[in-house]
Amino acid sequence: MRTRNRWLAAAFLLAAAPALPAQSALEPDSFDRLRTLIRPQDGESRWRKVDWLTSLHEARVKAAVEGKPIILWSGGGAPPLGGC
Amino acid sequence: MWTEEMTRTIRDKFVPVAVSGHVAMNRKDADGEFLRRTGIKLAGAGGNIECLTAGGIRLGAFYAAGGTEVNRRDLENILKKWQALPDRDRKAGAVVVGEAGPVAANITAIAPPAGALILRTYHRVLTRTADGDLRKTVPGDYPKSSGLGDKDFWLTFYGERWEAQPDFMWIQEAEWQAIVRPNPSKGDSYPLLEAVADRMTRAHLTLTMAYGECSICDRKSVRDRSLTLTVTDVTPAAVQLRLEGAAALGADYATSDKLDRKGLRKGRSVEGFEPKVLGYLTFDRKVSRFTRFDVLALGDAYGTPGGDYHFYYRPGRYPVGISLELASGTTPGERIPPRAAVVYDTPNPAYFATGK
Repeated sequence: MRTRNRWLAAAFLLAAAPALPAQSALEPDSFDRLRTLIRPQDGESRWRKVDWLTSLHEARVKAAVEGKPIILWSGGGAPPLGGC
Repeated sequence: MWTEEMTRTIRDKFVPVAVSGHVAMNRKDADGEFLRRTGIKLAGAGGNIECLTAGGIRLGAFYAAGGTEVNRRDLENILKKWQALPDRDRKAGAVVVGEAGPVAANITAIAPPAGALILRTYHRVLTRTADGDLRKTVPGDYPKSSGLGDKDFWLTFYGERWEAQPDFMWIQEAEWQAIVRPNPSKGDSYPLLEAVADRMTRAHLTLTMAYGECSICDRKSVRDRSLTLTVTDVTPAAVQLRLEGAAALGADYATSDKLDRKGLRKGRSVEGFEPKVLGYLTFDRKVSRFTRFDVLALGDAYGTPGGDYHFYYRPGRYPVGISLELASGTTPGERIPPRAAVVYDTPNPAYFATGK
């Protein structure tokens, strides 16, 4: 009976224990895996595959030379290639 | 809107340029005058996608949050309109673009300082699985989003917020040169240069950047912070360093949780973030520059983000990861200012005043 109670108490403690804090996942062994998880992954943020200019004048010169229209992407506060 | 097809069309058939709407509209130089003449009105917040010719003819606009199919059709119509223009407005070499003229002083002022080390940063909100592992977040992880509609609604109106949110960190030349101390020996351990540690913590280990926006937070928001460098190897060619530490920013969990339970937030921003930091740096002694600057921060976040971000509220603690790495700074897109380094169209003096 005493053994059974101990098992029940242990099971209760395990169930009630909070999940491990995220910080515990940041270790040298997990560094590369975690880095891959955080950075952009295949199929995400495809705008990164475009060579954006950040000067409208340069874009106009290039567009005139190449005979192409300009696509102007604007963000609030900063260019959308960074935080905006 | 960033499907493979749309991305390819933009890359192949357009000249792409990305700007800050507020900065571009208010520039006091030829670029600003040109844009204002076109009749295009870029928003100070939010964002626009406009198409135009080199000579300033507006071809049309589309709303990135309009949905993939709508965006595809908009872009098709814009290209049709382009094709219908007379040769004098669209043939290669037909339009003559004048000299740029003097660039407005505020534009020059928000370029990276000479010799600065540029780090690319990514923030990502994560989810802890039942077995304690970490995974990417999905729309279903946001309970407050349930009343906002289906997944497509979320994707179009609230963006891919579970993707990595990009930004940059600038470290001035004198600062990065002081990170490696003279005559280093294996085992040396010392605090990361205060100006860099303070900037990294207050401008880049921030929770709001995980939602795509931030400013530099005030000193009192930092409850705790320690960032220590240890020299792990020294050879004639290179010095290897390990960066370790932790930070605690914003409200503590108990305060945040108490407000949460009492329903006292009412749209106020009460949040906290407690990351641990680990990084590996390599300083090439022959060329006197860093060739590796890989830093990760990972910790629990909690509370209600402010403004529109309250839609991303999640109860309890949830993990947020941050990655920093060297950027070459050789492309225009890698030379845009860190979000916290500017206030609209002028530099934020607080960004480089860190550690003082």
